[in-house]
Amino acid sequence: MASRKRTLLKVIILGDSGVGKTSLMNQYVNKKFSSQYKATIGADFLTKEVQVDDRLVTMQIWDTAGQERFQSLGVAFYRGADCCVLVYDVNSAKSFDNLENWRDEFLIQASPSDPDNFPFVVLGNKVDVEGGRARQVSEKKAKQWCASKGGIPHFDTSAKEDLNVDDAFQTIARNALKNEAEEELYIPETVDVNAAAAPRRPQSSCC
Amino acid sequence: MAERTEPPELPPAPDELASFWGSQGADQAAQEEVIYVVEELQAMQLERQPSAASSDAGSGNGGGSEQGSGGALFAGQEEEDASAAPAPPAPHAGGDAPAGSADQQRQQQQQQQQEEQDQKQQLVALRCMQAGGTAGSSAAPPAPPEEAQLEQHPKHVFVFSTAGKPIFSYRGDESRLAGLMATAEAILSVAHSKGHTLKHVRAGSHVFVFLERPPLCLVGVSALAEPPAVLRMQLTLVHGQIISLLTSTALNALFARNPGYDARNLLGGSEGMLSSLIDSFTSTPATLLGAYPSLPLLGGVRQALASALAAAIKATGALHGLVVAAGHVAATCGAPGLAPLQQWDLLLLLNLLGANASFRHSGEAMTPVCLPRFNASANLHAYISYADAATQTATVLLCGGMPNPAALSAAAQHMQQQLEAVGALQALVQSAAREQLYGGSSSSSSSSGSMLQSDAGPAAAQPTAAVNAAAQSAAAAAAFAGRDALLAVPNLPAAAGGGRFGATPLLHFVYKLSGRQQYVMSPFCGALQEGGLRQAIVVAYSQLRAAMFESSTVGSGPLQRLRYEARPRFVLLGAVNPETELYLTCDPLADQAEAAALASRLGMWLHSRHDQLFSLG
Repeated sequence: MASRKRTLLKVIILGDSGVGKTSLMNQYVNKKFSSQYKATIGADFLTKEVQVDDRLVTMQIWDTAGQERFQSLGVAFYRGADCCVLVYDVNSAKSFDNLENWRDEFLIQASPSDPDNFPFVVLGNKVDVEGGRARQVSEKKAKQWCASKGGIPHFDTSAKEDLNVDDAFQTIARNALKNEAEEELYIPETVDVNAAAAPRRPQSSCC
Repeated sequence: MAERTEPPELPPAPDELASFWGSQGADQAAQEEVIYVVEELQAMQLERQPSAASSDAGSGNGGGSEQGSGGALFAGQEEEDASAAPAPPAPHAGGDAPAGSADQQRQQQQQQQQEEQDQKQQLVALRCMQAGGTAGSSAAPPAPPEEAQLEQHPKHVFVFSTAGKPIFSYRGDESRLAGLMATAEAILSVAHSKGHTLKHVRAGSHVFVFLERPPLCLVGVSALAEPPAVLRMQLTLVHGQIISLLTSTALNALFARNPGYDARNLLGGSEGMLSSLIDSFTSTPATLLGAYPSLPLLGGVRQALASALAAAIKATGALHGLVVAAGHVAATCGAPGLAPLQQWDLLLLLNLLGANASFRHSGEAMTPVCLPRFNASANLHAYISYADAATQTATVLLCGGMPNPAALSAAAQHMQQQLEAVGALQALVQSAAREQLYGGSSSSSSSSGSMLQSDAGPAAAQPTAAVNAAAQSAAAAAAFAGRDALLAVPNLPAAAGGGRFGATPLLHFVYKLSGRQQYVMSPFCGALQEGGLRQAIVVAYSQLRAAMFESSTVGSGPLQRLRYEARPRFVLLGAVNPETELYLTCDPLADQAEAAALASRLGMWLHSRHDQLFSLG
């Protein structure tokens, strides 16, 4: 166990364009915020090492483009994800309504082995705008939706004011770790002397 | 530097490694295309910085980048093949601009790039992009810029899963390169979604080669001007070495169960083995030739080894057996009815043995190993018995089914006793010691020249005198490891182009027996170990061979039979016939006629000694 590699978590951030996915990631990883909007082209990738309880893990964050024209990015973006972060803008009801689609899209593309228990985290971003007066999606409404999807954790966040960003990502890491598959072992078969070099049907055995 | 080629109508190869690729038209087009893409990346980077955006909006993206750049970003990066017709122009302002202005832009971009350290890292790493506003910022990043350190090395290999999770990096900490590998996977994925397969990309002096073997992806990066086809074969071998540890069945099953599987858990401890394999790509010509190194031996010794192996196979039911020494194969033998092991499997096996010193310490060992060309889906059991640990002389028996360690051990013991009784084992260990570059035993030096002397053929006019002279000069240069090797240039007769340093233009040679996928070469000793010359020569062989073979559109045969290339530090000559390939490195003063005459003499001398050089059984 001593020489075991640090766990790597693949985290995908999804949500409509302009809800602040990149800003959240940038605030979290680089502690920086820019109010100037720059659309993500394709995807951005950042890594951050975080401490979760007594474990040091590396988060590999896949920040995807919200625009529909980038939806052909392919299954590789979703494949093997350990946690999916759904982001909406609390000042845009539409971005919240679309979370349903983003969640479905993820479950279809990633097809996780246990979809009901796959770890999602929902972030309602931009709570700082106009001191909250522009808010269209109440925290209560959001939490109701999260509860109906199996108790997804929900955070009100502000990438601009660094509100709840660390807490949210800590939860993301923790939940992703919780979902970590059991250590798997696979004992390969040995070449059958009688069948010599002929490829054999796979046969697994678990310990 | 004037460049001489033969035949002369072929395009001359430039003398500088870096510009080697510039001479090939179709590749040039592909290269420019990629540069446009990289420009776009940079333009977008610049846009993302409010301070730097205005001066460089000239690359045409302007405010429209959100509309057009994203698609083009990926659209330009697909290459069907190195030799494909010139690629379509990038659907972009950069692509539409006249060549001169594109060059200017490129220069501007490169200046910008040097000013902005972060951007440079990203160019080299072919990062798609970084989070908005981060590039060029003075704030300290949370982790050390692992990617910046990559620039210190001219060669990289990255292995990651199709989920983009890092598995192995030749240089640097793979988990810190998670972003880079995710980017590479994303680029591959986008190429796939458009129905293309990305094979390689050029970015300046770097070549990025991609090999997709789901559930694994491999990326090789080289600034050494290695031919893409050779880099691809290197990646294939790295993949093969991973398969040799896990089997493809296990790998597929684990990833089918969990696409996010972290394969590092299973490969833990084998990083050194993968690294030593990658080290060998630029220190030996095995991979570029597609051949395994054969240990030169007197014919009688090799036959004794082979028949002892056959007896051991019969006694134990093993499928294959081999005798290895000093990283070379001395003899191989398969069970009746089985095809011989392929050179790729043998190279993986040699690396497994060379990289795992624990096998030597224990004298004998059993390990599961999968030989991908033999059977990628299942393991064999390798029984390894060292007869002489210092020269890494060992017997290897490969078994299927349930092995019987006691029987294997007894068979190996019996085999070694038999070989000892006829003196074959001693001769083998002596030959291995002479081949060994490092820490070779000096006690065997007195016999260095005599073995070939006894068999000097008609090609060698005055073998005795030459060999004696060579032995004397070798003794004088006692500091040079590898000087005793049978094929060391000073030990070759003068008639074959041998002689001490300075007396012959010949510095080094490699000789491949094509039909057997085996090669021998003179050792890289003395001056050839200095100043990166060894790596330069190995890479130059790969370029020379690529120029002779790969530009050929006709089947598998070479385009050129004879090719001469002058470089600043040495000249090269390749001579290929249907049976053999011979590549020479000569001092820079050797002209075309001299090198060709030398190749002809050396070729005849080597040709008359195939039974000593290669396993022909």
